Amino acid sequence: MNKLPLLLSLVLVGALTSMPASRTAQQITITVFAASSLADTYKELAQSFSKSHKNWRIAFSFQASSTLATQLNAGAPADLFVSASKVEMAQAKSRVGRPLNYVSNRVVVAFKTGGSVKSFADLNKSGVIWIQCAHEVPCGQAADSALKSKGIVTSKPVSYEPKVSSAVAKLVSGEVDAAIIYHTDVLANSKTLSELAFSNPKSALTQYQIGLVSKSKNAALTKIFLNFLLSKSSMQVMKEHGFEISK
Amino acid sequence: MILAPLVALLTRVPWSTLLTRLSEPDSVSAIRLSIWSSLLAALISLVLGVPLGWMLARSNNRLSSILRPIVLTPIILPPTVAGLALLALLGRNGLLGQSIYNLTGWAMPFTTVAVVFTGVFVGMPFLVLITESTFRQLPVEIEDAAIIDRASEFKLFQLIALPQARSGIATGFILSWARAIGEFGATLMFAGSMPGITQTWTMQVYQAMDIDLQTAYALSVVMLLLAVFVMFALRKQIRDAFKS
Repeated sequence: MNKLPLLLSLVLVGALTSMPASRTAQQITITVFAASSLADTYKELAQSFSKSHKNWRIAFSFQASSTLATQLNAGAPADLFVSASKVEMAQAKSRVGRPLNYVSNRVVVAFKTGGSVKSFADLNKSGVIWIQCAHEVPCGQAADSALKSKGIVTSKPVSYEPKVSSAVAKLVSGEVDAAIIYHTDVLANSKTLSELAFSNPKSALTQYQIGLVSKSKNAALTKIFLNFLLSKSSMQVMKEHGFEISK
Repeated sequence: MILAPLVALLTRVPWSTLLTRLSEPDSVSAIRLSIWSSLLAALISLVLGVPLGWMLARSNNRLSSILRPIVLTPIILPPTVAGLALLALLGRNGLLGQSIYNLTGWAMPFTTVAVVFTGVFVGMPFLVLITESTFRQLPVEIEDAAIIDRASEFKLFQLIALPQARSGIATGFILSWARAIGEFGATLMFAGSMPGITQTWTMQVYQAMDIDLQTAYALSVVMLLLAVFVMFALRKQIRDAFKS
């Protein structure tokens, strides 16, 4: 008999916890794993998407593509994966069946407008400190190949940042004089940052890929969002943010 | 819930290639950097923290009741907040860092000094916490006798309190060292990541995880074995420190 209160409270807890679920039954959540360089643009795109899709919630995880690929391989629940390079998409091939070539981006030498860096050679000056991304992540791989083909820069960075957004933050906050980041990052901070483009554009380029995560419970719905991302108007937004449209 | 993840980690270790993975230059330099920088951080915490713990234990005035929570705050601070706080103070545009940079041309971020400084910032509070409580638990009679014998405050500290609080101080040292060697987020934000200079063991595990999980496991298991070894070697001290 004295089990009754326990039973009652269990029923109550059950009722309480199931309530929010039933109330939000129509809400659709799509989880998107996207390269950290896409954060600004995707937040803007998601906002315009939600205007015509009231019950949708697009949950983003913006990390280095390599980190996202590792998480996917460990079984992370995501519906869509957007990688900043083919390497990381291939790394997650057990989870992403047929990725598409998406946009491309290129790394540049970014610096504070009016600061001590104005040319590639300035990076070699003593007292000038600069950073790039780690070799493990797409922006680092692009930086490595761009620097190698350029050949002017003989100094070493003071730090290999784990993702492009942390390199951007350190440049914008003035902790470093220059950083090898994406052209799109410079555009997003065009008030304070300027850039030097690598003369061999191919070496600085990285190809983004996008793909549905296999066995996603929301596959059909995710396709709707994917089509939105690939639509002409979305691609126009990508272009305005500095991404190049692959042919 | 504590044992299972540790056992699981052991099952994933690539034992046959363990040594080759650990002898990669970046792994070696990361392990070496982490060990010496965390030990140095713990030593600095010891030198500064023990007198501070003593001061807090001996005084019951307003100052100490304000000082104590301030000193212990970093225990609760998430690493990211700690990193931001350090940048705000010592970054090139920081409160103090800007003047230092303008005067000397040197800034602390991206240097090994920043790694050690971060270790002290996050680790020392643990040492202060443990040593203060140990000092407070010392038998009052001995101190009273010392005071009657007109021993100075310093003599009391040096000859009576210090030897009696050995276990507590050792435990505090270990905790502050462990906190320093385990730090990741604040170090990354404040010191960056450069092999041989600021790329610590934890950073190397994080970075390796992205491309080569086996190396990440190899690096992790050494950390685990080190932790187990330290805990077993000092189990008596730790037990004594928490005995009231």
